[in-house]
Amino acid sequence: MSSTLVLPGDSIPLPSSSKSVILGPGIAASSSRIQAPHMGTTPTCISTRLGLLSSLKGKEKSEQVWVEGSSKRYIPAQKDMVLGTIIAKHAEGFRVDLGSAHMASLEGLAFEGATKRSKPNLKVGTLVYARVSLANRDMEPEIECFDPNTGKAEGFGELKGGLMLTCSLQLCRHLLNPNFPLLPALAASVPFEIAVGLNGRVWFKTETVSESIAVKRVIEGVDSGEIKAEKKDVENAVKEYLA
Amino acid sequence: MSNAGPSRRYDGRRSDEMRPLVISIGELDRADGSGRFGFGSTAALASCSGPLEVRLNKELPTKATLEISHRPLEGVGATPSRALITTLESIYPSVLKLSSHPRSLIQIIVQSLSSSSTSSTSSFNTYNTPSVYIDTDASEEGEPNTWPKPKNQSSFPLEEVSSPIASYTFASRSASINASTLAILSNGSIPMTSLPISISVACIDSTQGQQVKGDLIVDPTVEEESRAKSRFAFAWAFGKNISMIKKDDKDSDVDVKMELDQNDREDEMELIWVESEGKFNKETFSDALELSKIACRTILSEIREKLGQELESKTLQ
Amino acid sequence: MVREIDPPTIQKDFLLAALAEGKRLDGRIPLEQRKVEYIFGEELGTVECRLGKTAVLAQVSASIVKPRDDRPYEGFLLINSEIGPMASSVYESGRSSDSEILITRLLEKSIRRTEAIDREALCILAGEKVWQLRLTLHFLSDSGNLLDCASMASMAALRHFRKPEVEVIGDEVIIHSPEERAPVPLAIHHTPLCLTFAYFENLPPILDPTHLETTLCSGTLTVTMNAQREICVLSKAGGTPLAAEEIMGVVTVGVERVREMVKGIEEALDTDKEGRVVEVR
Repeated sequence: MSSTLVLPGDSIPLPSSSKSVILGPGIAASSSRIQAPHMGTTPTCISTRLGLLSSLKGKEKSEQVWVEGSSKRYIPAQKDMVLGTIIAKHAEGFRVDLGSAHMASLEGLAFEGATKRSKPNLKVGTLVYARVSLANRDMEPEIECFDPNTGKAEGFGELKGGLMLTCSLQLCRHLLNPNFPLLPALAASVPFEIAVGLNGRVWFKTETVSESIAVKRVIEGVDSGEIKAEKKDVENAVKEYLA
Repeated sequence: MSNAGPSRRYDGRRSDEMRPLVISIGELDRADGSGRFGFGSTAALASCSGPLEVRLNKELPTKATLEISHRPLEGVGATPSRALITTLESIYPSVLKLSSHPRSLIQIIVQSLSSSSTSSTSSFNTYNTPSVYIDTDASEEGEPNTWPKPKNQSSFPLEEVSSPIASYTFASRSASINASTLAILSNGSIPMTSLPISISVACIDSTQGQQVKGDLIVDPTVEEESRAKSRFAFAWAFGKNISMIKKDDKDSDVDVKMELDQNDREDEMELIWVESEGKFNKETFSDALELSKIACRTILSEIREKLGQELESKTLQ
Repeated sequence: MVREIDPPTIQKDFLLAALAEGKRLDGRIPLEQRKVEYIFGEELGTVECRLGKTAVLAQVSASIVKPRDDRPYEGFLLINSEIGPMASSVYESGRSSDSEILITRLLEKSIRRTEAIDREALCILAGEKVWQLRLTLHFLSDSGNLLDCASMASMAALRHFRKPEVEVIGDEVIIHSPEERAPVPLAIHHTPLCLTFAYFENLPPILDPTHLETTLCSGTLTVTMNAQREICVLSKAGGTPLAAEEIMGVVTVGVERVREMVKGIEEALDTDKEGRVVEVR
């Protein structure tokens, strides 16, 4: 992964070798008022946020390009896995807070095995793990607690017990990356169950209270940059916090 | 630039030299994004939160509602605050893609970290003094009540050139703009197409032999601003291809010089806001304009460097 | 205004379970305060106080005004403390929430009504001219316990501030610029500081609650004390009832804590003084 710092307005060099280029978050076509004559047919792309320019080679000579920025505010996107709090119940389902500008709606039927007769009865304040099924800037996001292909829960649904913490969206994305050393390093010292939401929320559950507090402090420490996300540093931190 | 003489200012700076810049982001925990920017001690802190839930009566169906507020260092916001907000409101809607988050709220709050004293009263405030206002009713009668004591009035013809009462200095307006830009950068969830950066320039009379000529200085202090014959503040939006600057004949000689060092970047900036005050002619203005370009580029490269370091220290891999 | 959304119920369950074991989510013990840090501004009387991630900026300025007719010897101390949306999006400028009013009132009581500042020493010419001090508080970040942070910032700013020296000759008042004569500190009787405790049903109280703890607790108690072991203000605004012994326990903890906090302010002021080139008394 290359890493160059880009600021909004910087032009993004598009790889010419690839057959197709997929533009990810943080990149937009330049809205130039005057067409630059020497640009030819390829449109100029600019960055729209602060971050590191990242790219990844995909299948069939395609390439993905995006700006890896850090942010705290979640913008719903389809297929994202998120953690939400139920804040209201209505006849058809629930209203769920994802930390974004708009409340998401969760239908009562969007659960494993739910029928018109038997819908899950979740209380206000319940934490659910769900998937964004519809996200559009002009509409309220919709989430679901099952995999529509199989009809099974696949781990989605109510989360009981444990503790939730909030962190940067960037850290959440990293936590889902199997090569990111934080979770394996933590798991080496403390056994835990975890659900990572891409909306900047992480839920986990451990055996004891002190273990949970240690896990929370380590994740928050990594997020703020106080602890390096390396095996040795994480293990030392866990040891210190458990003592 | 032709006016950038070798003479030093009273604080030892060259005429085109800024005070040391303070640049940092992300210090406020509860805001989605925050930034601090300072020209030395003339500083501002800004926060940018959003997209948030918007109140129904402020909801816009096609774009986000941008709410900008400002708090002065002392007291509560009044006309000068309002003026600053208007400035910010004229800059940011054009660089933010508000249409990408309809029916939501984006909040920008700017906190001034240097006092808003008028140029006429604070002009005699030297660096480390506490700010003291003089109640005008009490001091009506004569000089003894004013503090600090005004120096010989005749040396500065203030009555003609001073700012309106209690307005912000141009340097602090520039700092507020730059702090807001940093806060939006640090937020990261609001798409931005170009980067507004601002600088203030002042024109000070100086006598060289028989000739009286105006010297342009970049990033004037409060002192210098109050002595200045005219004051300017510029904000440039930086971004690829946002505009092409047409070259007309009048200032071609300046442009040639510019092209020597920066010819390939000429199309990457656009003047987005300018405010000026005092007596000046066209040449002074265009010189100040050119000077501001260079200064804003310097600020941009410093922002790039600082944020690069900050991001690197926080990079997770 | 943006609604504050209640944290999920599991947060409260976990918090209570942890507190029952005497543990807090950030690793503190129940009666431990977060780290306090003072950042002094270039101008005298400007101080930013950080309590953990909570941040408050205090600024003091002075002007000369006419005193009230019935109190010709007294100067004024005005406190501006509006919480704006910078602290958190739930606060709205121009519209004060209940918690904001509570904070403002308590600060007023703790600083102004306890006579922390000798207001008679602000008199320049009886019945004619007195100093009016204006203390402006800016709440930068609300990560819980804004009140304690604001009281520390206020007292540090008042002690950091210097007013210009004045000379009275007959009816004439001469104000000396700092170049002529070094400005003088304010006459301060004592340094009252707020300490906020949050309590949960059937659990011992905790000091300096975080934002989450404040949201979930069943009540808070604020004591304002000084280093002379005196209680200046005691405020328990609603919440579940507390036993009298518990309040005494809180006060005993507070005595020690406040003494350390005052020492912290003094040390910070001394460090700042050493770094200043100008003459400061």
